[in-house]
Amino acid sequence: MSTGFINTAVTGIQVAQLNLATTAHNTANASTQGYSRQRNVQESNTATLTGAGYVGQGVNVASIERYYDRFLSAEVNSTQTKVSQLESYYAQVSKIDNSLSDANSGISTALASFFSGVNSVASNPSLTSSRQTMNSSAQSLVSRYQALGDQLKQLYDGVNGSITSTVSSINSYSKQIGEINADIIVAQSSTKQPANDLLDQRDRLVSELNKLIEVSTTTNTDGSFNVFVGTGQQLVVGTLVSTMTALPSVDDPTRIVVGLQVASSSQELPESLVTGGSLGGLLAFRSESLDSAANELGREAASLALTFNSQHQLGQDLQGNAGADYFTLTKPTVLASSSNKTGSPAVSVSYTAPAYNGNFYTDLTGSDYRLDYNGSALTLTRLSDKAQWSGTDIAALNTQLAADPQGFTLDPANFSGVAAGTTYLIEPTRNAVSGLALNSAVVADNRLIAAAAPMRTEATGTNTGKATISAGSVSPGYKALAAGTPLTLTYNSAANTMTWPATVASDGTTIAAGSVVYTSGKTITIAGNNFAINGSPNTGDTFSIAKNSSGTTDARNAALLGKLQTQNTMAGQTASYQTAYAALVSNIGNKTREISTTGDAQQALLDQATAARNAVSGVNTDEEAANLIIFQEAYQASAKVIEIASKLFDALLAIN
Amino acid sequence: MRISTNQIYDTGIQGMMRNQARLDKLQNQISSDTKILTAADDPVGAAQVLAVSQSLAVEEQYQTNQSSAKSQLSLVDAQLTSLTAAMQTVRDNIVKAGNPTYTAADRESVAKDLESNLAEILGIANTDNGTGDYLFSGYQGGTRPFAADGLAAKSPATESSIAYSGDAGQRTVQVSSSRQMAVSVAGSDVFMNGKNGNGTFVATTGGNDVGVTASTGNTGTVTQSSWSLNRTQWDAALANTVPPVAALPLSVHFIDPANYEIIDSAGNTTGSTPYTSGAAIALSVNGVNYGAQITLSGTPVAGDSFAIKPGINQGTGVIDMGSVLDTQKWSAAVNNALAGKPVEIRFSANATTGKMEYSIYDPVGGATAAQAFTTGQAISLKTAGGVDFGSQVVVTGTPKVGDSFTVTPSTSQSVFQTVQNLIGILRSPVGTTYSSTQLANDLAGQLSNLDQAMSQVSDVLSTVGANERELVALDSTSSDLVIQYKATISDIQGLDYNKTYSDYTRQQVNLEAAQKSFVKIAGLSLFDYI
Repeated sequence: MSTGFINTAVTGIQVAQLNLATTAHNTANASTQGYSRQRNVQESNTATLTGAGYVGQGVNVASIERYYDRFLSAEVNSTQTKVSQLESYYAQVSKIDNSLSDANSGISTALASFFSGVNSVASNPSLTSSRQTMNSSAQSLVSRYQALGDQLKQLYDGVNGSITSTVSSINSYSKQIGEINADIIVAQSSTKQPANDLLDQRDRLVSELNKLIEVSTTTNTDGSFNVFVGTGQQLVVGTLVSTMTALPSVDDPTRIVVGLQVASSSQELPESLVTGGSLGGLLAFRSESLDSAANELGREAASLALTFNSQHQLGQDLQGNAGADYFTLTKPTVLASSSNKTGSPAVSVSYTAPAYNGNFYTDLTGSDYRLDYNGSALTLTRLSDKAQWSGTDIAALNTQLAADPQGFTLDPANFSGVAAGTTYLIEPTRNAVSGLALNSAVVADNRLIAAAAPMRTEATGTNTGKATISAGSVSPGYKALAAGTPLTLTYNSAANTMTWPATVASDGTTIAAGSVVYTSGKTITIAGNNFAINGSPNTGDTFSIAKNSSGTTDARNAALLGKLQTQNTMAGQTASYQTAYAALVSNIGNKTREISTTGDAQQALLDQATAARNAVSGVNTDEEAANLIIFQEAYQASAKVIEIASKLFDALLAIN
Repeated sequence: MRISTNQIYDTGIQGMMRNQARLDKLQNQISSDTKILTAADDPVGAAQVLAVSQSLAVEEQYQTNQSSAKSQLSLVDAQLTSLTAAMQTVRDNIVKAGNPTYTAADRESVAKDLESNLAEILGIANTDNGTGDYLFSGYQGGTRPFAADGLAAKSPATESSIAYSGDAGQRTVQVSSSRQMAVSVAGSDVFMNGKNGNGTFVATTGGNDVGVTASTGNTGTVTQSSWSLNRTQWDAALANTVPPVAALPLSVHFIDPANYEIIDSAGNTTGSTPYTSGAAIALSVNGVNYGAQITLSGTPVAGDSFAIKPGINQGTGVIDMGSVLDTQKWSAAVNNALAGKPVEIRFSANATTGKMEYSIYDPVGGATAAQAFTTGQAISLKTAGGVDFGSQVVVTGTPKVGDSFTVTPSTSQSVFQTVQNLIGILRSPVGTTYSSTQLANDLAGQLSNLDQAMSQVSDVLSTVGANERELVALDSTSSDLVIQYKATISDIQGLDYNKTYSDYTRQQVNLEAAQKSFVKIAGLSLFDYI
């Protein structure tokens, strides 16, 4: 009898010890990452039936279990993966934001100082020092573009590197999850008890994996996890682990993309499937911000070079020659897909000359394009909005591009007999910045800056009427007059006409004779030479236009070059260099702000989810301290029962 | 709610870090004096700042351009002012030279003065701007605009005209978004393109058609007493190109005291003709009837001769510069068939009264009917063909028969040419072939040319002055705009120091509170009591 309840007391002591052990374990792991506090599930022993009824046989610990709510953990994981994505995005985009916003590294001040240099030539065209100032400021503008371009390139390379290392970390976590899966299967199948600490470890690995890429999990009956990415692409199934790879893109070998090892080959995962985590952040940053920033910067550099060159060509240098290019620009990048069959034609594109409508402007868009050949027709797709142009050959496409200008044209290439599925990626402005330079001839000899206009006008001194002629200008495609061969207009009052004879131009061709009805102030254009005569001429009065020989102090073209600063020279004559740059800065700023704000909101959600999870699973040391006291007292109480049983036994012995 | 110990630490640390991040940002804003550290702080504001910054940079560039324009214009202004002074000296000299008591030596001294004036004007015309570019050469800054070789070495009368090697270009500077200001004036506008005469037309002496000049070697007492002229016959004879043709000058040569012959310049002669003192001699040689008669009286000696040729006006008529009353009529007239052709005012004597009459002659319509002439009266320029020039001239003094005055549309005459002409005029000896009346007419003519040249310079100068005044106005506009742009930028990104400092202090207090409370909470543990 007494033996019975000593045994009962002993079970109490044993359970109290187990409770103390669990409390010690909890206290020891108070700061362990991913640890879920544990508790002992106590249950009373099966009672013994006596005549008096069922006599209790004490207590035992049925199981040690985790305080764990998988919904709360999943909530933490799904918010964590978004936070990680946004943090990784923010870390990258804020670098662009800082560079563009910084007065020292941004384009804005360099652009202003370049045009200040142009203006100094416009004010003092004959001074070599002014011309040198213009060249130097142009050089620093080019350097500034290139420095920014280099930085974007470094970010691009950095993204490539980060993708590779992140993929390697993902593989490492997948492998560990697979291994722990195996351990858990073994541990739980043999004991039928939960392997609490292994489960915690696996949860932590999944949580770490979520920081890199968003994954979803399902639990198998044997307690192992399946881990999926994207829309169900398997990463871990039980103990089977797939390998993720970082590989060069088929379309662009410089672009590292994410793939999944299937059998012996790697299959490129569409970027839309890789979301969340720092990997998702990197990919989103690259496709949303980095590519467009590089394209936009290139668009500005290319537009500046093309429009400035066109205006410069309308001028005349100090030596009396027509202006050459001021900037040089390499051709746009075209990448042939690595899946193209051998023998596919090489495709190249060229910038179209800027259009002219009072000032020069380009139609470049800042988007990339894809050229596909389906065996019978070519399709050009603008990737930003999927606008398409189709034609049977390059010439047909170019005809369409002429009507709907995109700032570039395709160079001739022969597609007859080429396999279907041949594709090319066209990046009209992506690498324009690195291909931008000053024309080395102009750098070496600043007299080649074409500050003067190529023609000048004069009202003959012996005229008896009171009429003046404007200074004049030239339009693209003008015919330059030959030196010493002016073109003279003579006024006839009876017919009210200005008449001029046929004149041989500097290129040896003839400017046809002609006649216009005279209207004071109306622009007269002869072979691209524009001028206006104002006032009342008398019969026989003559006005001449001539080559601007020795026009060293003329700065009419420099003034027009200077005006480009404020004219709408880009995006089909809707934006100036500066407004386009401001739009870029604003876009990147907006994106950074958006990412930062969303990141703050997600962080708050994560904090809440973590708090909720910790409320269930986290260790509170005070609570454990209280538990210690409780379990100590339970131990002491059971010990007291033994003592009392002992005393009862002694009392029986004393009767003897 | 249950809370884990980790949560207490995490929350405390996060709170402190948040506070520190805010403090760091405020500190950055204060140290860089802007509330937009990167575009992300205010994307719209950042774009606005970029746009306004460009406007600011452009406006500041206009200010730089304005000051450059100002210095270039003031250089031009100074040179044109010197030029005006030099031309005024020339003018004073001309007025002085017109003094009827002046001798040839006096005039020579004035001519010498004018030579140095000319050199001075030429010097001004070839000034450079201090950086090696000629001021008055148009676009061709490197080209010397006016030749200046050996002024003194040549006789001014034969001085080749000083040509302009520049062009009509005006250098311009962009002084505001919509204004390109001319900061130079072309040499042709200043020195070359002054109109002669009154600016619309030039009235000069046309010369007498039949001047009769006694040979200086004459020893007899024969003098010319009168002559008459059939203008139509004279003009027809001179215009005829079918042989026999007129060959002026003619010479009336006395073979002996009783006989003379008329010889033309081709050597044709009338042969010996008896001479009667006071009888009219008809001028007809080699089958050419010149339509003129002269009367010689007195006793000749063999070998005496008289030359008959168109010459200077014989009377004392002086013509003013004329005036245009109706510019529309003038311009209609010069744009018809008479374009560029001179109109003459010819004087003749009334056949019956002998009084002086004038008619207007033009090469197309011929002569008008003769009208009585009164000295000082306004003569309207209306031709026989009915062309009304809407203009008038005034002839004062007493013209003689055959005298004429010519009116031609103004053309440009350089100031150098005017001065050179003056020097030539002053050095022409006054005598039978060059009368003091002609001198007075010529001086008056060149004086009006000079006045035109001066008014041309003054026009240019007033344009320059207007540009300089405009620059003052533009400068103030630009300064206002610069201030405005700076204010806009400051509004967008400028720091409100009061607010920022107060935020900073509050943040500091928050951080300190977070730190103190964290230490207190972290120090609470039940383990301390067991």
